[in-house]
This record gives sequence, structure tokens and C-alpha cells, in this order.
Amino acid sequence: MIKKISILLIILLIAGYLSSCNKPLSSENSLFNTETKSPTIGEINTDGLKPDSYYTSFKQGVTIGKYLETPYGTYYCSLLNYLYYSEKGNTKYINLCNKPDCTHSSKDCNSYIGTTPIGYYDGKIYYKVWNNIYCMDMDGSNHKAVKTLYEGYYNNFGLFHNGYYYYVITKGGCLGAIGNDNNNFYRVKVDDNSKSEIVLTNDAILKMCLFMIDEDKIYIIANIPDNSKFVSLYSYSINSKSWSELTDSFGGPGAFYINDDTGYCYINNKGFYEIDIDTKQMKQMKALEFENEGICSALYYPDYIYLIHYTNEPFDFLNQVLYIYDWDYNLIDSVEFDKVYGTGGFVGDVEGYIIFASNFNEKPDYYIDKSEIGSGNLMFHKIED
Amino acid sequence: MKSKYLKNTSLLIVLAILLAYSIIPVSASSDYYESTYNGYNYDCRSYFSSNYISGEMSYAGSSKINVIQDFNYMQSGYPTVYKDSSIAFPQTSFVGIVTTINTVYYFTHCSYSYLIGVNTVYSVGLF
Repeated sequence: MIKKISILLIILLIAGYLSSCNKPLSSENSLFNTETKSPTIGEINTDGLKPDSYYTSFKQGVTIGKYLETPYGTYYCSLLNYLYYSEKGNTKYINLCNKPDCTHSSKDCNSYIGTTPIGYYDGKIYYKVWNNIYCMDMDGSNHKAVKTLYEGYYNNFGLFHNGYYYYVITKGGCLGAIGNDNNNFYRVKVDDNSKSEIVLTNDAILKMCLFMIDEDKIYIIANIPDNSKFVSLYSYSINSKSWSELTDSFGGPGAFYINDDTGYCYINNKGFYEIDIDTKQMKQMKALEFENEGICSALYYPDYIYLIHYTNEPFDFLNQVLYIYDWDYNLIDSVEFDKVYGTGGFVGDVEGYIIFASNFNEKPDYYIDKSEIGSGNLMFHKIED
Repeated sequence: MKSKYLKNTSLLIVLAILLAYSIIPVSASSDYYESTYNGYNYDCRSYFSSNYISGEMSYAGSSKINVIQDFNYMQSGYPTVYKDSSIAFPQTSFVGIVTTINTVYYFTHCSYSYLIGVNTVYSVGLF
């Protein structure tokens, strides 16, 4: 009997020992051993996975190229240049820094990546510092230089899209700067040793205020002198090398989108418009006029079109109303966002949530639960730490 | 009689100029800082206006010095926020960088970083 009990005890002890071996690493041993730890950073989440091109394509925002939805979670780069991460299916954002005792408030912080657009491609986050492309692993580690775009100290403006960095060189320091005289449009593959190539040369590049890529086509919107209501829309096919002026009455930055040979835009206090890229026919889809004109962002996402009306004159970000339309331009819902201090607002749309930041210098701190759209009870929820 | 007429006209012109400056909304600010680094004096001058930002640095030592502008800008009539930065070519003794944009755009904020060697010795933000 004693022998049997002893054997049983030994089996229980061995089982207990083995089960303890299967426990996850303690926080002291894990990669993220600060308060910002998350056990799933850098791990792919296959729930509801979309085609890869969805994640690698450029997304619209009020800031440019600062928000990424990836199979690993979402990433946001603040206007103070710190990178934040949110686990898939979650709305809470954390600094992507694994440095012990880091206060995330200086350039020494691992999440500080400088003034840059960010892009996702093939399991890496890409970013640009001056004239160099860098990449990092999805958990924020292993930052390394990938390539130099060109020699010298000239600036450039660009964005990441489907494994390329598309850019223009801005000698004067930024778009619209005095001194810009380079009318080339460049691109470079981010994940190989190839050099930048000139895709297009045209003087419209010198007036460009933003661009979009759709399949093999580059769509450029360019300023029209003394006209802040409209911009010109041009297209260029990389394959056929054909250049075309589509219209000189299109919506400007933050108010246009192009997909599958259709251009979409919102023109202030006139309404929503669409243009057939092949025929160049543009038509009003919905007339819209606000009593207080203000200015608007129109952001086109798969589920909805978001129109954000900034009501203060002169313009600021403090008072804004989010109008939510379906793709037939029916108004579904609206809600006021009055939490902004400084410069803030819409950050992105990811799965079940619309993400907002009360200040773009900080991490996102409000969200809308998309299941509440049209319920009569739409509201902003605070993202609690 | 003629000199009185000229005097009144001059006064009116001066008044008109002053009035014009008070009506046109010009957002401008500046900053000046001086200190020592490795026993040598340096000074940093920053200037911000809606279409013009500049940073200048002088240093009496022999190390290379540099200025970085980290700025936000927007286009009139649209809410999109652009973010960019400019860096000067490193120099000894004096370095400066100026960014001027056309009137379609306007700067909303600029952070200036002043470097001696690789060390940031002074930072300031203006808007």
C-alpha cells in the first residue's frame, strides 16, 4: 500500500513539474518586460485575415501614412514620432518599446522612429528617415537600414504602398516649398537591393499635393494657382506610360479616393462626386451644403464613407462632426467629436472600430464601436489605459 | 500750404501701412538661446511664421554643428496634416536652414533641434 502511494506521489510530482515547464515565460524573461508588455506582439493573428494587398496598400487618414492595419495588429505613429501598437481586435495602444525603464519621452526610446510615413510589407514595418529606408520586425525589434534613396541632404515626400516607397524629391524641404525643381516621380522596392527608378517626369509633379496608387496607375492631385476649392487630377499608367489630365475640378488632400477606375471626392459645400477614369465623366452623386461651410475630410473605407466636418472658422480641429455614409451616399449616422485639444481627430478604421485621437501627438484614445452605427446611440468610447 | 498737404499725406500713408499690418493675420514667433559647450560659446536662433521657418546656430568650437527642423504644415482649405523635416549640411562655426513654402500652404508648428557633433544641445518648438 505504502509503495502504491509512493508511486502515485512520484507520478503527481513529475506531472506537476512537467506542467510548470509549459507555463509561458515570466515577464522578467519575456521580450517585453516593461509595463507595455504584450504577449502577442509580433505574432500573426489569422482571425478574419484579409488579402495581403489590403494590408500593404496605403490607407487614407487626416495625417499621411501614420496608421497601419496589419495581420499582426495595428500600428500608429504619432506626430511626435513615437510608434504605438494595438493588438488585433483590441483598441488599446501601447508604445512599441522594449527598453527597460524607458519613459518613452526622448529620441532614445525604441519606439521613436522620426518624421516618417510607415508601411507594412511581408512581415516587416518599413519607415523612412531623411533619404534612408529602414525596417523593423513586427514586435518593434531589430531596426535596420535597408537602403539609401539618393546621395545628399535633399528632402523627399512619399508613401509606402505594396512593397514600394513612392516619392518625389523636395529640394526646398517639403511640398510647395520654394526651391523645389525636381519634376521626377520615383519609386523603389523596399525588400531587395534595387535602386530607385524614375517612374515619371512631368511638371505637374512640382504642383503635386498628394498622390495615390491603384494597381499600375499613379493618380496625382495638383494645386491650381489661386484656387483652393478644386485641384487637378492626373493619371499615369506605369505599364502603358500614358499620362492623362482627368479633371481640373477634383477634391483635394483628405477628400478623395480612387479605386477600380473610379475616382471619388468631396468638394466643400457642393457634395460627393465620382469620376469615371476611362471616360473622364464626372458627376455629382449627392449634393451637400452645410449652413456653416467649414472644411471637410472625406475618408473612404470598405464599410463606410466618413465625412468629417470641421465647423470652426477660422479653421481648427476643436469642433468636428463625423457623418457616416454608406457607399450609396445615404447618411447612416452622425456624432460630434469634441475631445480634441490641439490637432486631433480621425486616425483609422480597423475591423469593428473607428479610431480617433484627441491629439495626434499622442496615442489614439477614443473609438466608435461600428456595431452601434445606426442604433440611435452612437458615441465615442474612451480607450482606458 | 504745400508742405502741410505733404505732411498730411505722409501721415496717411504711414497710418495705412500700420493698419494693413494690423489687419493681415501674420503668425510669427522667435526664440534665442545661448550657452557653452566644451568651454566654447554657442547660440541658436529660431524663427517661425506661417510661410517661413529658419534655424541658425553659431559655435566657437571646432566640432561640426547642425540644425534640424521638424515641422507640420497644411494646405489652405483642407484638413490634411503634412509632417516633414529638414536637415542642414553639417558645418563648423555657423550653420543655418530655411524652409519657405508658397501661400497655398502654411506651417502650423516647428520643432528645432540644434546639434554639436551628434549631441542635441538645445531644442525648442514654435508655432
